[in-house]
Amino acid sequence: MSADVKPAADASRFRFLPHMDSASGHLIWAITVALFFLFVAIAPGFLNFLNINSILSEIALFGFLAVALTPVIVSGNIDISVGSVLGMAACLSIVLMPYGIGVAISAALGAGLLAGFMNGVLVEKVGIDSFIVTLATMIGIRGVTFYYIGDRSVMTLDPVFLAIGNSNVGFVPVRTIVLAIIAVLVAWVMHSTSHGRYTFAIGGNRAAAVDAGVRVSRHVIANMMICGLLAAVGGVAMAAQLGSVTPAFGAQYELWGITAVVLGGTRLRGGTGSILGSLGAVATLAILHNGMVLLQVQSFYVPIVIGFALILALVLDRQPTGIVKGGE
Amino acid sequence: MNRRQALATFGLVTAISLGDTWGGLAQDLPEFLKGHELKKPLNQLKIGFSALGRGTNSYSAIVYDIMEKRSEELGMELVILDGGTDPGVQAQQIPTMITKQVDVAVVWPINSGAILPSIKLLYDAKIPILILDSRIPEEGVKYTVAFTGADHYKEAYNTGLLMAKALDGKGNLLEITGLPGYDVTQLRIDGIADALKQYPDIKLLDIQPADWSQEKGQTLTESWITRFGDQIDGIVAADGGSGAGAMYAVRAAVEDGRLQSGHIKFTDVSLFTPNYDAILTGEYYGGVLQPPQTEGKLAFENAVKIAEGIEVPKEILFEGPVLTKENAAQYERPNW
Repeated sequence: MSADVKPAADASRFRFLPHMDSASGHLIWAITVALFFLFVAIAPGFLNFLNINSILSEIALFGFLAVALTPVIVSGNIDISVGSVLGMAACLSIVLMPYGIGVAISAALGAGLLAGFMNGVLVEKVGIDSFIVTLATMIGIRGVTFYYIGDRSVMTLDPVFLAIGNSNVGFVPVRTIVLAIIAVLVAWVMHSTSHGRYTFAIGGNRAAAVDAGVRVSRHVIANMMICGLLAAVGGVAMAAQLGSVTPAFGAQYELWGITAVVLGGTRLRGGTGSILGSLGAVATLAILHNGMVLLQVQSFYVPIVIGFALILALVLDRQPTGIVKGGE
Repeated sequence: MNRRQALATFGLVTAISLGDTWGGLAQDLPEFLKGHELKKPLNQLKIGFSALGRGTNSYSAIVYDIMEKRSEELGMELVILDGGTDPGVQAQQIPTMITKQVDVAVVWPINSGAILPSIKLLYDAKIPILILDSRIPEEGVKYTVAFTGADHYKEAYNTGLLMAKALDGKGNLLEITGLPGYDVTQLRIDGIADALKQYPDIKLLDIQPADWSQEKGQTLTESWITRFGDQIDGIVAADGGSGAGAMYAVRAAVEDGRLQSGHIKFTDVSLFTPNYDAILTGEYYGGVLQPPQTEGKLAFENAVKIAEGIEVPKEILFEGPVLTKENAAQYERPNW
């Protein structure tokens, strides 16, 4: 049996718009557009330049995590340490700023990559379930961050770093543009490379992928590393925007990331999903949150609405299993 | 309609419109505005309020309630932004104040440093800013009009002295702090530490955060009881919520027979209802009474003054009284 399964000949073409295989994947963009026009109609100031900038900024807040988590979940795994990795990277990038912006950002991204590698090795080589592994690393990484930083806030006034985090191109924050570029890259990897196709195959039927000669461990570890790296990118982006973070930063962000991925049509059991769907869900949540704030709806209603939407997405997504989609 | 009737109608409509507008100015002015000239009718004012999060604790909830109630009484619009203790979320929400074109922004920073870019944004949009409760770094002060809040350092210093008195100047102490990264947290740590410097025989066994949470304060104290047991002589908390949690944990341990009843002394920097009640029974040694009503009142009144172009002091501070069993009954029972 060959060590590597060769991808199908017609699947090597670049696909910018990955197909969305689940009902909720298509639905989410319809909801995004519908919500947008709804709030244009009923929320005064919604279309204001600064408000659109604010929505796009909020998309960046959770978008990095949603893009990071999608390949992991498509492969049938999960990573709930992303919030802790984001917080760790945010703190590291600020604490190491005296050594130069390049060193600070590189160290933060490197730490994220290492965390992902650690998660991947524990899942694939030690054989522990990804939920358990990343639960442990979620707690452990947060603890290490607190140990290293202490229970205090860390702050930087580096003008270049803060400029990166607070600059706009027109009304679009630079952080959101970076997110968009990364999303395109990850989407391309998922749908136009063998790694992406094997990710779908592993998530769809791991045993069949193993039998077909796919090096499952290699691809799962790679996805975990990408996830850790992108969570760290998110942390650096937030640190650049705020200029000050605490070791507690990013707590519970993993829940929002996972919510967005599931709402966007990616199945928790793996095998199906898309970056575009995940981004659509992030946009929906950002628009919903922003619109409700503009309408002065009590903040407690937001999680109620999102919880209901998540249940609805899961109900709509109940389809027969065993169908491996993606990368065709 | 003839010309005279048309003129009369026009005059009447104009009078009613002006009356409605200037009625907002000429309405019975609240005490804090009497003697001042208003540049805008009160019922046309819009106040922006970005804060810690209503659900953080009962102190925060009462400040929210006061801002809402007073705004409603005077017919003002209050734009509420609930940061939910997340500085990232607060930063995303601040631009909403600009979208809503508020006349003044009251900002209760969740993270003093992280709020700076948002403060600059409001300043550039020419919205005057009142900082509430937690000071921001010096770099940002120039963009704000004023700060109002408790003198947290002084109150914490007094709490530290109270604990020293409770322990007769010697013993083993545990300290519960507030939300990491919050300016108030550090001020209270510093105040207590400076007070206790005078008592070298008081040994700090451990210091840990409980994020202003009663539940976390209780869990933390349960761990401490397991670790230190009857070595513990006193617990000082940064706030009444976590202080109450500590008290409940010790109470349970006493009921289980693991600790001696009445041995551990409790003090905190901002008493809540359970702490106050426990002072009266003697279970709690004492603390500083910092009514959120005072904070809310000062925040609201100074926000309105700023919106109306009335000059206010750069710092508006208040200091709560120290309560012990001897004098607690003289003060109204807190309802938070």
